[in-house]
This record gives sequence, structure tokens and C-alpha cells, in this order.
Amino acid sequence: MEHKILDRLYVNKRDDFKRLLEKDSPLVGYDYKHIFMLALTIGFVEGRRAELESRKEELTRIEYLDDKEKSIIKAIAVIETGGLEVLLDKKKVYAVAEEYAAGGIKLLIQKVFSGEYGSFIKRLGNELEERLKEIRGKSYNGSKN
Amino acid sequence: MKIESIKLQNFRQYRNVEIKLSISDNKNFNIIQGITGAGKTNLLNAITWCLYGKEKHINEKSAGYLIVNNLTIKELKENEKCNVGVQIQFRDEEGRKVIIGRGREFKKLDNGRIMEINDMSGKSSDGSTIMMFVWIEKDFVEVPDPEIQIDRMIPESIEEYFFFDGERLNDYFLENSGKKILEAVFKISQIGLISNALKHLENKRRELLKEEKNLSPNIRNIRDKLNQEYIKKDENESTLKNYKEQKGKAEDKIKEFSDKLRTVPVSNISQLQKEREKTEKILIKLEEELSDLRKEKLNYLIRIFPSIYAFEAINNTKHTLDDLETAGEIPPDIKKQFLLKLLETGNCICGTDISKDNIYRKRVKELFTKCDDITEITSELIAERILLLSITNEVKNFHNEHFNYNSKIKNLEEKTQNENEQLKRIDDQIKIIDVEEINHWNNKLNEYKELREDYIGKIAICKKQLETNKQEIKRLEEIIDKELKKEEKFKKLQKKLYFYKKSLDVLNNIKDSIMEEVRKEIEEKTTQQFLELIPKKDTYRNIKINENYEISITDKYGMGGIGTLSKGETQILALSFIGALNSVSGFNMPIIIDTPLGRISKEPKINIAGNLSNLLKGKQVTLLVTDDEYSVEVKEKLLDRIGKEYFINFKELENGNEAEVVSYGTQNS
Repeated sequence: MEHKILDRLYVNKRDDFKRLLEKDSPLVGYDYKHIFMLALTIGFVEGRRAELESRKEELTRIEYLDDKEKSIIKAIAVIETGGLEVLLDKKKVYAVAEEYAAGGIKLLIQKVFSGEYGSFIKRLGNELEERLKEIRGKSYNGSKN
Repeated sequence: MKIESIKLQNFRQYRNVEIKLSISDNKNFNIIQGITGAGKTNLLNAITWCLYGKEKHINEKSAGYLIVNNLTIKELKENEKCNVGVQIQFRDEEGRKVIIGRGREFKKLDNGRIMEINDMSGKSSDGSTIMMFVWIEKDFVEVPDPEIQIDRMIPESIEEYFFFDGERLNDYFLENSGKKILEAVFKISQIGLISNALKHLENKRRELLKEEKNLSPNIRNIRDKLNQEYIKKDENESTLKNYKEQKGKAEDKIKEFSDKLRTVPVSNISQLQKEREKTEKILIKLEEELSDLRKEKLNYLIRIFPSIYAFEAINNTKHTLDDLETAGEIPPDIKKQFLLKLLETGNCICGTDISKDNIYRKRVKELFTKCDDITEITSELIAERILLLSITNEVKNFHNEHFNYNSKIKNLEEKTQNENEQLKRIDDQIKIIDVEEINHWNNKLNEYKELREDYIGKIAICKKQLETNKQEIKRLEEIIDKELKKEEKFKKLQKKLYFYKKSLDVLNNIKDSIMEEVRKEIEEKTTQQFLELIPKKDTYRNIKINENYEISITDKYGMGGIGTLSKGETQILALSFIGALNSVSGFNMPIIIDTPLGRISKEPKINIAGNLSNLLKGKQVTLLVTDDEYSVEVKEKLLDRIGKEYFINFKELENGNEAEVVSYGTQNS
């Protein structure tokens, strides 16, 4: 495989991510890194992990991610690989994230464009409330799984 | 280039010998006669050792002995030194004297063993020291870098065609003749430099081809994308301009109808219009606040979304880290040192003996290894734990934060609704005043207000879209910049590759044409000389060296091959070939042949001897011959050409061997 320095994030179809930044999208004006994080976490929750066909479709730079975003990516890699050792392998950490983002982007597009434009913020807020209730019901009560 | 003299000191059987050779053009033959084993081949070795530091014709027996004379070794006292040296004096084309000398120094140790003294100053690879002098005006001047100078005068790569063993000449055509002849033509053509240049160019070309693969520009595709993005940007800018103009026009109209309503001479209308304008201002402010708050809420939701969606992963990882901390593994350094100390002392803290390889020691070792892995990522884990804790707290606060945003929004929405209702009331009051024109103005005013609102929304979206366009353009321009640099490199690379290809073609052509020319010349000269030397002159027609450098001979019937030649005839062919080689080489070097007529029967031997002088015309030739070879008939054939004649007097003494080279007393020219 072609060797590249680990400073960028790659996806299968950049245009899918770009679609969410167009003028009819409620996410217009946001950055690719936001779309990446949304797609990644949706992909993770829904168990949609897609192998990257090639590493030619560059999306954004890793340096644009803030510490918390990087931390979420690492946490997903830890759970995915079953151990903290993965943190020594940054290439693997970001490869897991790229694959989930590639798997989750279609679901995100569906989610964003499924309702009316003006209702997106409300829907999003409600969905997060629901998700949190679900997590609390399942596992989160201040104690671990 | 001719050899005037050879001096040998303690070189194998030659303890102190000087051989002066004839350098006359007419008397160009020197004969050194000796029985088998007398030391003829070692004379040849002395010459190659002096010039190149190698005894190129050494046999297995001699190779096992030290180069220093064994009699001298015996006579040496303890700690006494002796030198081995060979010195050759040449006379070059311009008549200048050139001396080349090589030496090695030995010492006899207390235990009787011989050790080489090697001070490493100016030494060759075999430990010997070489020096070269040229006679300039009235003195000998030392020549720097003698090895390089020697290689120019008598290149080592072709010495075998000038200093050779006649008995081995037959082997020349036994097997791999094509390869050997190609090698000879290659060396004689002196095209080593061209070959090296070809090799170098080819290597460079391959490197560049590898580089080229990584540089294939992808610029057209990206340029297309960039152009599309420019078009979108232009369209958006034009739309934005249009929206702003439309919004401006709507605002002008609003102002126009508001002014009309404010100044209308109907009671109450003016007051109502003023109130309406005041309410509208409040409304605009409220809507701005509402818009900002919604934006803020969306930012918050987008930011918290990944944390909530990945919460299970975050929470589990955080717990794993908490467990590590509880177990004292982060930070682990103290524990690791502690475990190491336990392993070193062999005593566990509980008193168990862990000095031997038992189950307890194994457990402590396992714990130590585990700590080792964790140590590498300790700092990262500590930082991670803090971040994950912070994210977890944010998620915990989500409900409250979300509630706060919703409350604030609801509050503003209510206020906005109140103001809108107030506005409607004013509007209704204005409407009930039954003045047709006023109603028309009022309707128009409301119409333009709606229009303005519409444009405000459109402008906001258009601005965001433009922002996205600009980001994309910036990104694509960065890629284009990179690709342009690649393209520039690519073009340069193409030029270089073209240059390399042309150079390779030219050099290959030069090489091929030189090789071809040399091959033909050698073929021609070999045929000519062979036919002169061979007794059965009518039997053979010509010698061919084909494109594969395979040599063949054609007889009068158009048949034949090298295999049909007798040993003597093969040696004649070899001599002819060698003669052709050194004639074509352009190097006027002396020729020294060891046992030149060894395998040839009596009749041809005499014939060859008679023709050798023609074959090697103009060359200084030294023949190292046995008694059998140097028969009376052979001597008679060569007599006119002989300048010097020596006999090797070999003495096998009790303590070692010694050889003297004694002159026959033949007259100098």
C-alpha cells in the first residue's frame, strides 16, 4: 500500500460529505470535521463499518480536530480493538474512525434530509435526549457496565 | 615502451639478479632459456608483481611459499631485516627512462619466524610499496600516484595479451571462446569507460522512472473541479448581490409606505404607524436574538452529538482507565520499579521466595511485563482520562443545557409572538380606517416586509453557501499548487529522461561501432598472421569472428572448425590472435611469452619461429624458453633478431634455492 504520513483523514466518497454542506442542508457553513465526527459516531452506534476502497479521497486534516474529538476517536478504537494498546498505533486508531465514518455517512444524510428544514434543530435535540435516555436505561447510571 | 632492465632482489629464487634486455628495433628479441622449474614463469610473475602487486602466473607450488628467497631467510640472523624488490627500467616512446620498483620488507623474529614489516605508509593492498620515477633533464623525478600512471602505460586489464604463457594459449579456444574473445575485444577496445557510463546512465534512468511513477500529474481532474467551484461561487455571489438589491428595494418601499402612513392627515393613523415602527424594531431585535440562540443551540448539539452517540465507548474506556488507576498501574513507574526490585532481590513483599523460577516469580514477572506496556502510553492515558471525564460530565449536563436552551428560545418565541400580535392589532386598527389609499399603502407595506424577510433568509443561506465555496476553492487551490509543483518536476523529469535515453542510445552506438570495428580488424589481422605462420598455407582460407565473437576457420573446401586444428595449429591461431590483439590495441608494450613454442612439433616450430619476427614486428619480444623449444633450428631462424640471450642457472642448495641469470654473451646491436 502507498505510504502516506498520518496527518489527514480519508473517506470513500468525499462528495457525500460535501452534500451535507450545500445550501439546502441545515449543516451549511459547518466544517468537514464536524460531518466526519457525526458520520463516525452514527456509523459506530449503528455498527456500520466500511472498508476504505483507497486512500485517495482526502477529507480533512487530523490537526483540525480538537482534543475532545480526538479523544472520542481513541475511545472508539479502544472499544473496537478491545484494548488500550491500540493507542500506541495511531494509524490503526484513525483507520477505525475512517471506516466508521465511511459506513455512517449515508445514514447521516438520511437523517439530515428526512424532515423539514426548520425542524432539524428540534429533531436533533429530541433525538439526543432519546439516545441519552436509552443509554441511561441500558447502562449509564453513574456505574460502569 | 620497452624494458631496458629488470632487477630482482630476494624475489623467490632470484636473490640478486639484473637482466638487461635489448631495446633495439632490429634486434628486438630477447631469449631467456631455462629448464622446467628453473624460474622462467617467476620472471613473468616478478614483472606483474612489480607493476600490479600481483603474481598473475603463480602456480600452486610457488603460491604456498613466501615471496622472499628461502636461502636469504635461512641466512638472516634474529631481528635482522631483508628486502624483496623488483625494479623494472623502461624506455618510453620519447626515449625517456622510467623506473618502476616495488618492495616488501621482512624481519626474522626471535623464534625464527619471518614477519612482514608494514608501516602502512604508501603501501599497496598486498603490503608492498611501489614507486615510480621518470628521468627528466638530469635527474629521476618521483611520479605521484604510480598505480594510476602504470595503468595508463600498461593497463592491467589487457596485460594478459602482452605477458602470457604460451602453453596456455591453446586453452583460449577450447571452451567459451565467444565469451573470451568478446572479453578480449572489450578490453582491447578500452571501452570500459563507455560501459561504466552506460551502467551509470541506465541506473540513473531507472531511478528517474521510479520517481516519474509518483509524479504523474492529476491536475486536469482537479482543475475541472476547481472551475466548477469557481462557477458556483460566481453564481452565489451574483445571487447574493441580487438578493441584497431586492432586499434594499423592499426596504426602500417599506420606508416609502411607512413615511406615507406616518404623514397621512387622518387622525390616529400617524400615531398607529409610529407605534407599528417601534414594535417592528423590537421584533427585529427579538428575531435576531432568537436566530443567534438557535444557532448557538445547533452548535451545541453538533458538538455534543458525537459524545452522546459514542458515550458507551467513552464510558467504558474511562472505566478501564479508572480501573488501571485504582490498581496503581497509572501512573505505573513506581510500581514497575518496585516490581523490578522484588525480582532482583528474589524476595516478595509477602516474604515468598521468588529468587528461583517458580510460579510466584512468574506471576511477578507477568505483572512487570504488563506494567511495561502501559508505561509507554502512560502520559497519553492520563491525558485521555481527564478528557473522557470532561466529556462524560458534559453528557451528564446535556439535559439541563438542552432544557436551558429550549427555555430561552421559548421565552424569546413568546416575546416575539406578543410583539407580532401587537403589530397585528395596530395593523388591524389601521385597516379599519376605511380609506382606500391608506389600506393600499398598508397592504403594500406588509407585502414588502414579507419580501424583505424572505430575502433576509435567502441572503443568510447564500452567505453560508459562499463560505463553503470559498473553503472548497482554498482546498482545491492548495492541491493544485501541489500538483503544479509535481507537474513542474514531472516536466523536468521528462527532459532528464529524454536526455538519458538519447545519451544511452548514442553511447550504445559508439560502443557497438567500436566493438564492431575492433572485431573486424582483429579478424582480418588474425587471418593474415595465421596464414603467414601456418605451414599448410593452401589448406586454410580465412578466420571468422562472428557477431557472437565465436571464432571459426574455413578451409579450402569451405568447411572446418577450430576442433579440426592440431595442437600446434591451435597455438599458431592463438599466437596470431594475440598478435592481432596487441597490434589493434594501440599500446606499444613489450611482449613477454613464457614457453611460446611448447606444444608445437618440430617442423611448425621452426616455421613459427621464422615468422614470429614478422608477427611481432616493431615490438620488443622476450621469450622465456625451454631447451626443447630453443632448438638449434629455432635459434637459427631468430638469430638476426636476437639482441640478448640468457640462461637461467638454477641451483638447488641444502638451505634453499637460488637462480642466476647468465648472459650467453650474444652481441648487442
